[in-house]
Amino acid sequence: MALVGMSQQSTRIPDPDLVAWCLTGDPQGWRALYNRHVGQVMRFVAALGVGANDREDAVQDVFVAVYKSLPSFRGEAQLSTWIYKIAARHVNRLSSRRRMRDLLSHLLWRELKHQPAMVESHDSVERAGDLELLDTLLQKLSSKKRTALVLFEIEGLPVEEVAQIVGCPINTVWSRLHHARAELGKLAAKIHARGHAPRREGQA
Amino acid sequence: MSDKHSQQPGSGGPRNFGDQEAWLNSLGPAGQALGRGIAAAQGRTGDEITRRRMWSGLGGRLRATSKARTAWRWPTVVGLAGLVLVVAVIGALQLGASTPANHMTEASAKEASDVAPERAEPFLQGPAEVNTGANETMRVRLRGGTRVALGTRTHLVLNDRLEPELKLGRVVLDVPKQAPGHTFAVKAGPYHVSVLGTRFSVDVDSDSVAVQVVEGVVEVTRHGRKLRLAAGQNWTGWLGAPPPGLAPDDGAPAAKPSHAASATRGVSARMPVALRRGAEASSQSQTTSLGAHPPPDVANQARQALAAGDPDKALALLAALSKQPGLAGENASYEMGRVWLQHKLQPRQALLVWQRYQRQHPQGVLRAEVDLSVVETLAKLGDVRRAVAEGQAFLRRHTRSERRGDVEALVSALQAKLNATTP
Repeated sequence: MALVGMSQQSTRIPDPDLVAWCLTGDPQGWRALYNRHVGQVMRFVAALGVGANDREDAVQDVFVAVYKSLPSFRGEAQLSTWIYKIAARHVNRLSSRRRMRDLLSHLLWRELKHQPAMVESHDSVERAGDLELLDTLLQKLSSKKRTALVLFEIEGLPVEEVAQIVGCPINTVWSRLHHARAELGKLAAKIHARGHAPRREGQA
Repeated sequence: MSDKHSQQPGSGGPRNFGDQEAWLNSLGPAGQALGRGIAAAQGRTGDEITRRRMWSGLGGRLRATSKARTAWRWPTVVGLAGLVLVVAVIGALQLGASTPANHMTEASAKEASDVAPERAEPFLQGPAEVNTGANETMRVRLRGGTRVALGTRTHLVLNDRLEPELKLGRVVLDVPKQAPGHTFAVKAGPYHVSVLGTRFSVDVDSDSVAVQVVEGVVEVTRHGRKLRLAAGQNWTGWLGAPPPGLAPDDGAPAAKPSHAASATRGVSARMPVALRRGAEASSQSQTTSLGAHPPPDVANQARQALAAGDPDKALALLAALSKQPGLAGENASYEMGRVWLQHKLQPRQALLVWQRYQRQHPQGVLRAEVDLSVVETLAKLGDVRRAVAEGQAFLRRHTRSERRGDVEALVSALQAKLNATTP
């Protein structure tokens, strides 16, 4: 049967056509948009510090927000840039809510429930250690520096696009990146000097 | 180590801002670890099973969002809706003549024009090919009284033997009761979906075929193997190789109908019909005829209950949803285990739930994910022997899973621990 594969279709379709397709309400259009961007969103929210337990919900939240807002997408930026913006905003909101919840729990003298972390998908124990090291260090950065660093170093975006996503001038982005690299480097060196990386929970 | 910026000309910046590789090299061994972490983070895009599971969860949430959006917007669109309806009726009446790919006989065109406007559906008497566009839906009639509603972007062929073949897209069929010895069948890829007088839908996309039965009984056949589906049941088969993590024969229906839950494995992970504007009434009634089951936004309610700190309510909602056939039910079963483990902090209860899933859905879409969760939870509980046994079973069962590497590493580590403690 000669069928055009869905993934083949979605990579051939330019952003404006994909958006128009979705806006017709065709489920296949939404599936194509999801397939094209789910990896990006998953990787991004993970790097911004959303725990493995909450990651799937966070990714779904982002796509719900995309669904709600797509009629207002004007095409001034790439669709992926716009989706990064939505994801960054959502993760910031999640972090604020988590901080408020932790603060309230602390104030009310409740013990914070310890949630066992989901095992990440890793090829090896060593890889798990490197990834966990990176995640731990990224969490020590401020939210603005972390977002800029993740977009530049992990997502590999040009600084102009990073500036569009975070909504600040390019020079500000460079400054954040510079400070983020410096901090990350210092922290990594400190941990390395101590001679161990953070252990994964339950690791033998 | 991937450094996308080293390939970017003019990514520019302050003169002292080197590319990623130069920066990491300047940090020495700590930089190497960071670099490996960055490379690992770049690959953290979720495996196929996770993506499919998220998609199935997303469907219910978007349906709820769509309903809410429609509810408060209706006063502003009611005028437009009226206009669209008029245009659709005019378009439907003229569709036989205007759709370039629709090859109809003169007799069928005449018959269509002779019929009263509300029943003017093109009648396909001879070999024909029908294509609908992105914004089009259509109804046609076939010999014997069968009525077919075509969704958007659908390609239906009536071959020389006047058998319908769905090449791509979605059709909902109303088939009158067949005379003894006669069956109506629609071809979808290598599958024949035979009916005995019923109402059902068939979806074909790039890699799978899905059948959902509203009324009556449907048989899906491939290479002589048959699966019978009753009202309320659905089934998905693969057109090519099944995705990683699924058994190779997931695409072929079982020789004899197994437990109702197994017969309904794998709802196609497509957006619900209700999201489509101008959705055909037949399609909508197809979804509502499953009204004996919990409403589609139950998953959303469960999620909200968890967010509000009420895992017991979430469990009750998920338990009801888990009785639904198809991926929604499977997903709910899996989620129950996660709630027991992560919110109620009762890993043994989580294990019981997942083991029930393994019994009820031996070839379920989420089987690999459940098996992996069982292995991990047993390891966390310190039940090393059982964790090793389950891990080895995972590796035998899921030969193409993307999670094999994780499980192999875990089983090796556990076996080493077992050997160290065993005298």
